[in-house]
Amino acid sequence: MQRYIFRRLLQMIPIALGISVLMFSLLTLAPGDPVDLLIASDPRVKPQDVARLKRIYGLDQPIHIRYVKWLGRTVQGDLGFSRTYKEPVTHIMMDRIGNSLWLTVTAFFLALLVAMPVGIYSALHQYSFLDYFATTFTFFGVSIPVFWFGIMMIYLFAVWHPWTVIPAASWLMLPPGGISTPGVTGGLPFYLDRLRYMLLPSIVLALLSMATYTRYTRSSMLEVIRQDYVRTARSKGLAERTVINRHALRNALIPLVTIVALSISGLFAGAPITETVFAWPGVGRLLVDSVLAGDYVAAQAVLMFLAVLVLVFNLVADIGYALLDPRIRYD
Amino acid sequence: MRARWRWSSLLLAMLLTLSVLPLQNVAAQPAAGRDQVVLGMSQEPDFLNPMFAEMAASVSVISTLFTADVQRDNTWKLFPQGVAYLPNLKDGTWKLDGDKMTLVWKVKPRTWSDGKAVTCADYVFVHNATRNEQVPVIVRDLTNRISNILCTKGASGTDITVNWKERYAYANVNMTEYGALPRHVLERFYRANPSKLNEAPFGNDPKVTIGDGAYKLVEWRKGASMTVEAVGNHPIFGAPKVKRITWRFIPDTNSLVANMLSGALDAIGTIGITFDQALQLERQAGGRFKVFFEPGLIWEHIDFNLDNPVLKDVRVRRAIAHAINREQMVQQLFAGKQPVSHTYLPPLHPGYPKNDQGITKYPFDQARARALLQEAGFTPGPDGVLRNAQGQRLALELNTTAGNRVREQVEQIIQQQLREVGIAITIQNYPARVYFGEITNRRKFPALAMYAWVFSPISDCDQSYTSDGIPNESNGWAGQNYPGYKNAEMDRACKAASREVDEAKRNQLLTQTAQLFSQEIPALPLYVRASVAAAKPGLQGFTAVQLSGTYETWNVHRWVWQ
Repeated sequence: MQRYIFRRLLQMIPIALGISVLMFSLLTLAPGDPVDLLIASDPRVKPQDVARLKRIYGLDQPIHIRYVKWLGRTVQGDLGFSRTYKEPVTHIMMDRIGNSLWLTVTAFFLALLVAMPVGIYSALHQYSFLDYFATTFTFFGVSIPVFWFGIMMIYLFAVWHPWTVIPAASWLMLPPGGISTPGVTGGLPFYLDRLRYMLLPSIVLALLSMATYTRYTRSSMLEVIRQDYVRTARSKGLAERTVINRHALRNALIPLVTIVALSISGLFAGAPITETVFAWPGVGRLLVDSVLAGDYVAAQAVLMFLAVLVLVFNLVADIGYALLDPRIRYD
Repeated sequence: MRARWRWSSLLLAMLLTLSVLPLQNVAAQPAAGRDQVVLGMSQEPDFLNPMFAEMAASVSVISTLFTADVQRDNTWKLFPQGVAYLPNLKDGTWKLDGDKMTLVWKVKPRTWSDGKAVTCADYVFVHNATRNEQVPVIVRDLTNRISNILCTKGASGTDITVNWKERYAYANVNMTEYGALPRHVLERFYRANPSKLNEAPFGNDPKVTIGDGAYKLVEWRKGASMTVEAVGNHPIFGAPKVKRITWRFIPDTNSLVANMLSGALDAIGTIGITFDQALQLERQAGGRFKVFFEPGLIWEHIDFNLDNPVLKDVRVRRAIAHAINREQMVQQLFAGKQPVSHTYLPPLHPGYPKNDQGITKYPFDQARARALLQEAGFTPGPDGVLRNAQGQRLALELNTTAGNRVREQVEQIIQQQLREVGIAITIQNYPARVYFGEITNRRKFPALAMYAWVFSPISDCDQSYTSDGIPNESNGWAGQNYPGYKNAEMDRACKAASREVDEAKRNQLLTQTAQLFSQEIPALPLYVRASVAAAKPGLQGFTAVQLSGTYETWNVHRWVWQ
């Protein structure tokens, strides 16, 4: 196993390098250099200014030289300075990852907390009312566009709902967006305030994964309870609870664990659409904003970080798979 | 069972009644108290150091933190804000010496928010830093025209003489390119590494960012909000009634509207909602908000590529103008709130001719369009599309930015209406980055290019419609004359206007250029975009302003809740 992990870690190096070359080239070769665009947007900017700025930012050098310099800095932990945010990218990313994790981890657990019991119940009571309800719900969950659902939730819980006409109950209104109330800092009030701001985006974000996890749990459980070993367990006279919990559930969770492990890297990536709709300053929004603003230094850093995370969590998923399923062995 | 049903029905009825009641009381109240204002903005400022701030959102916030030497009000009128007077030729504070000029300024006494006085040395420091090739400021237009700045009563004084290398018509609009910044804070960063001056915490960290305006920065939660607080009794602005202003950054404009409807925002400035959303908000307002539509400076138009042999003929250009019903278009798409334009200058520009005098207009007249095309040698072909003597179809390509819904609607109207007079239009759109980075600025559009120019009250036609402003490889693709328009009379008037220091004479020259433009139409004027904003009715003093340097915050010290 150790040799396998070591080999996989070594394999990651050329893969990460390949990704970095591809990403750097795509972003750099995209039409419209950010400095060139200044001429078009501001007639006061002269070609001499563009040449001067390109010299200062090193954009006048050939792409391979720029790549080598960027790689050298990145390996040393210097992700560069963002021209849009006027801050070192490392600082911005630390803040943004923290914000995204608040949201994504809450949504992740919320989704699992609902999806697993619903999926199991649904499988055990196939074609019952709740099974139909859960199946319909998952259908909606995977079909509803996040941006639309987000706006609807804002209208329902922040713009239009009965509590708004009772001033004394106005605290029940949920904030329509943002991360916290300006001026509220430190201690319990800060966390309570953050919780109120998190509620709507977490629910929206949880819905999609909730639907996916419910479907996986249900189908996996359905498959497992028809297996011979489950029948054997029942025929041994074991209690139904023991059969489900010890024999069926553990095996049914294997594919779900893989899905969950693979989605952990996604937790760090944030959720661009939900974060944009709810004005949540997370990694997803940072990536979208950086690309739109032509801030390639920030975009490259975020993309590279996410690529490495995907590689690492793929390995984690494979290891987790082996730990859960004794049939799987890596040499 | 019956009793329970009755109770639940009553509860349901109560909830339904409550839910349909208008939310006027809650939503119309100030979001955070009567001495505070919460503004919504779809952009977040990049930086609050005026030397490096690139975004309009930054400029909007900067005007609360810094005192502008010269400012414009919402009627576009200049007034001295941080200086005692505007230099002028009559009293000798603006002197001409051949091609050179000298302007004498007097700064109003005031301090930085840390208590240190604003002095001439602060102006000189910023000017010298801007001149340094290593400092990554973007625009150095005025800096390159100024030869030096002198402190006539010493570095700690407030009397400043600015010597100009060349005549510049708008020399009294700004004393220098970036005015004054606190030298005692910035100089150590500058000395340490001039090429990383834009990486200094000044303009980013509230502890280091000090200004000389009515407010100081107290909190910046990146990606979420920013708060400024009144400095107290300011020698120029007095004691503002609104003590704290918070901007909340909400990138999705639908969410911005939802936030306004929920009452979480007191106002949305011009960097916020789209025109369509403003119209919708006005319909939904129900007395809870006032929605502002003010004439703006963003001019939507279609450039004709004059290298195209068909479009070289002014009769074809005029025929196209007559064939498009622009009046109906602005009524249908914008409820008439974004008026049709007839020349390159917006009607509120001081150079725009009074009562449209001498402006050639092209009202919708398909018969006239057909006649002009016939005169230009085009006759109808078997498919209804016109053909020239060589049998070539009159087919033109129309380009614009992909994904811009309004422009795409305008394209469809134009395509349909031009088809009616026998002109076939093919639409080819590009992402904005490609369109502005490769197509328009390198004149790669084959026939028609739709986009907007953002004007300022000091915009003129030099480089935009002069022959030396045609971008080409030899001039490094500089200049904004994308149609490729060449006219000696236009060249002379535009160049003269950009150098004419007498405002009346300058406006006369600009009037001539606007009239000539309307006759020749190197570009088809479509409409002038309105600046839109919304505010709760109790917030007095707020209005929509968007003048590239002046935003609704220009009079923030006078805002008050009623």
